[in-house]
Amino acid sequence: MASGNDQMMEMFLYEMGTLLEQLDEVLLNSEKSQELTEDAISEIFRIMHTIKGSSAMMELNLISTVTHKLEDSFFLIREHGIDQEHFTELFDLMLDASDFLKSQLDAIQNGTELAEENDDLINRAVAFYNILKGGPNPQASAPAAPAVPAAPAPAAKEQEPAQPSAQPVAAGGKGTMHFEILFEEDCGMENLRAFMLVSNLKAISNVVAYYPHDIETNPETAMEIMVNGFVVTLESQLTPTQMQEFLEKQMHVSSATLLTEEQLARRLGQTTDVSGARYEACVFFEEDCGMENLRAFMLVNSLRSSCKVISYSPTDIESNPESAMLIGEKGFQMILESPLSFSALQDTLRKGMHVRSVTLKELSAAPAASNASETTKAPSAPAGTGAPAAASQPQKAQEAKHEPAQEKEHEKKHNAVKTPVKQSLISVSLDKLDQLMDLMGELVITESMVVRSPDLKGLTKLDNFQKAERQLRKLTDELQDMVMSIRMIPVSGTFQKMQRIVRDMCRALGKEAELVTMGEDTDIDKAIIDSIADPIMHLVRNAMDHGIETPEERRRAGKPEKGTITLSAQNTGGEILITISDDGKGLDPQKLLEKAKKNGILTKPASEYTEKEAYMLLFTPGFSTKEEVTEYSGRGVGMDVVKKNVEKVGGTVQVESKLGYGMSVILKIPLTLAIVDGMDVSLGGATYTLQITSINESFKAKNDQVIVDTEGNEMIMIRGNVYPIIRLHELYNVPNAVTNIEDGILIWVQSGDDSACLLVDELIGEQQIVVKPLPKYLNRFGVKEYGISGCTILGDGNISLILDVGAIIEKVLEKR
Amino acid sequence: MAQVQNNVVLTEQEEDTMHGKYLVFDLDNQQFAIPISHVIDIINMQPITWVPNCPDYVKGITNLRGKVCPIVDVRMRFGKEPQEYHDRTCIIVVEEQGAPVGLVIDSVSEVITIDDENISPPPKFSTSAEARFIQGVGRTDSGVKLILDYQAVLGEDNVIRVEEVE
Repeated sequence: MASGNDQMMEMFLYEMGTLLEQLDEVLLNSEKSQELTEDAISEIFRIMHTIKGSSAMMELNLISTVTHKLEDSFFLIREHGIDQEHFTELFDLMLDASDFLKSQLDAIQNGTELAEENDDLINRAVAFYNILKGGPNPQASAPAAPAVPAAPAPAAKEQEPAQPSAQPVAAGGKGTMHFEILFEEDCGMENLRAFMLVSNLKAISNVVAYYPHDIETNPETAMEIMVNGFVVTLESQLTPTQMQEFLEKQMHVSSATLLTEEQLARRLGQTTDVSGARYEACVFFEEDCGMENLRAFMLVNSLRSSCKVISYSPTDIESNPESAMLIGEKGFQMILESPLSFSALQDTLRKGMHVRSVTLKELSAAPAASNASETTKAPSAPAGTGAPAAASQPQKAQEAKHEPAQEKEHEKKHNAVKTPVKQSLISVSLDKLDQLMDLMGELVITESMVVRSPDLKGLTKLDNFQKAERQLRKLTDELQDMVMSIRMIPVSGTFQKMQRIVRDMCRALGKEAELVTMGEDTDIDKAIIDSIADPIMHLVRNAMDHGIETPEERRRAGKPEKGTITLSAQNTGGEILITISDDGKGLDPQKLLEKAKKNGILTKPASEYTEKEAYMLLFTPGFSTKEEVTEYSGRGVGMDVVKKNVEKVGGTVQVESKLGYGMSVILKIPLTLAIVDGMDVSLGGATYTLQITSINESFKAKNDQVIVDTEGNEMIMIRGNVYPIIRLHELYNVPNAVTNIEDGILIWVQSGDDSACLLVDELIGEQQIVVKPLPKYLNRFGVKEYGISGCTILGDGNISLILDVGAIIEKVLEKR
Repeated sequence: MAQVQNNVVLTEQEEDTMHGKYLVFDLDNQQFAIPISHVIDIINMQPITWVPNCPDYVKGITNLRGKVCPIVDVRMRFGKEPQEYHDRTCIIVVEEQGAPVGLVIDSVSEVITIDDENISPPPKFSTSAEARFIQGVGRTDSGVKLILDYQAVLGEDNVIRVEEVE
């Protein structure tokens, strides 16, 4: 049960590890060839930018500052290039920086102390920046260092209270002090809070010891901290009062008390007594919930954070399904130790999933003397009175037996509960899953090659063959579902990460906003999630930074002070839609165009740009709508990376905006890696494939059913609604295709809210297809915008193009 | 796995032995050469699926043993008149950005060795359209071979600059 923060740290470490690897590769290659290509510069720049952002988010200020400085230099290099003579210096600096970052990474991973400062590196970076900027006079320009765009301002803020106050304390010496820290009630996960606190403290002081010391690994310490507080011993140049202030400002800290040595000793001596009172509980589950043993197991697990489960009966719930019946009849007995009050514990138990009723008894110090029983309501329990009584007999006996070896027993149980969880999961490299997927694809193709083999034509007695064929199809279908499901994970993890970003950025930018997520249980292929996590993060940052206004601006605009960013995922059958929208100021096409013109990225006269095209300028490399550079965004990296990453998985990016009311970015991610049901159609002698999910129906139409508007656009009425007819052969300039609507066939297709009828020559048939992306080489010809999203290899070895209904409709409407 | 690694090692060795070796092919009565280390396959003409919205010289995509491979007609890329494909028409498959791309040429003839010192830069004042696709001229006993810069063939045409538009 990793908490959000743990997960985030893990993600951060992983991300940073990969980025640093990439960085080294780029640097070493460039150094070897003694040239910096434009790609290499952007790559390094992007890496620095990403590390800067994520490390700031994790409150690793030093890393963020260092990368920020380096990013500044690469910003200049990207704009103005760099002389060959600076290469050695540049590579030395960058590789040293990379080493430093790696050492920090290791430190985080091993839980050792992080470096507090690395002025040498920062100074070198600043000096180098000045060389690049103002020619070879680092000395003269060094004092002007603050002129560097947005120096570490936001990042350094945390450290500010620490540094300036360094002098007034005991001359030069570091004072040792002890604090007892209490966290806010019901903040939950106290051990993790404490862990975060320790990492924060490490940034400004030397943490000598803390108690409990196993906070990272042992969730049960949460309870102890909740009751007794968290004790930390540290050395710092701050005065105790300053330190106390610092501590009390930290998240969720309700109070920090300075302890003397004596108090400390006493405090550490007493800590064993955390357990609180002991209770006996009997839990009944809802009658038809089934699998009572597993419910019980889940319950025990969920209780771990708030109390100590000393023993339970039946004891073999994980391994013996028959215990389900026993629990159903007699209830699930537990002996608990908890610091919670009677009623609080009772509430906790009742809130457990599928719990119908709870009987709780407080046991006095000696477990045997448990007469002060209090039976809580058992509303619909017919056996409510009889069962607990009957059950208490064996329970008592067991209790007595367990008592002497209680501690041991508890430990054993603890292990027994944890092991199976570990063993039932294995991690598999994504490569192997990719290979499995490829093989699956080949298998599907081969299957249709066999089943549709031309050799079978004309044969009539194929009963056995057909039987075997059906069997084979069933098996491959199942296998395929299984392979697909292995790769699917919910997007909630990625969405979770965004909560933190929004929160942090609100603080840093002085804005108010909340993130609303929808459809976070949508399952997406792991590979796709990996490649869209970055784009989503950029888009959320962008919405926070550029979209949402400050509270005053919002008030003036008559909007609620708190902005809303909505992040939603939706599976529309054929593709996944991920929408990032905000209710901020929206986009002004005119301003976008002006800006683009200034940056020289317009490819045609400004007047020829449509609103949509103007929005898309956002995603052009080198475009940025904000003048100043902030910790989070600016400079126009990111947005072009967003588009690139999304296109890499075969997706598209769309922008919608209303000036003053906000904007949304829609990522359409097709299931490129998927095997889908397709309908093959023919057009001018070639085969095209439509996804079955996008087809409503197909029909023959008479010429007199066709309605033509004043502009010559053809439409047809289906059940009272009028839909445009799209002649595919016209859109694609296909020769030799059927042009008379009566001779061809109309396919009524749907994509989201858009609907239209496509005219094709004829239907060929339905089959499962393996979607393959189009070769990258074709991307430059805008094939995707014309509605060709991929291709598939047919049973006869030929290739069929897969049509993307949404893009076709959009293209046609744009033309009209 | 082991097999894969062996292959990698092999290609590295091969690359050494392949240096200076060129595949010679005919195109419009001229002899061209392409470094053999860049060639991953030579196949006969096979069914090609036409892709809409592409320039004429992009013939479409084909199935190269399970991989989807775009096909470029070099003759048309040079701006010359198209010619009917016949049984000697070949597709030279090269690798571009990690993916295979097929080049349609009239016919392949042989593999020869051209030493580096026998290669001179392309003539600067050539007016023919194909000049920018030539990276050098190789002199051999059997005549002059134009060394094809396949990356230029597969590269993008110069994008119109903003100044020119406005």
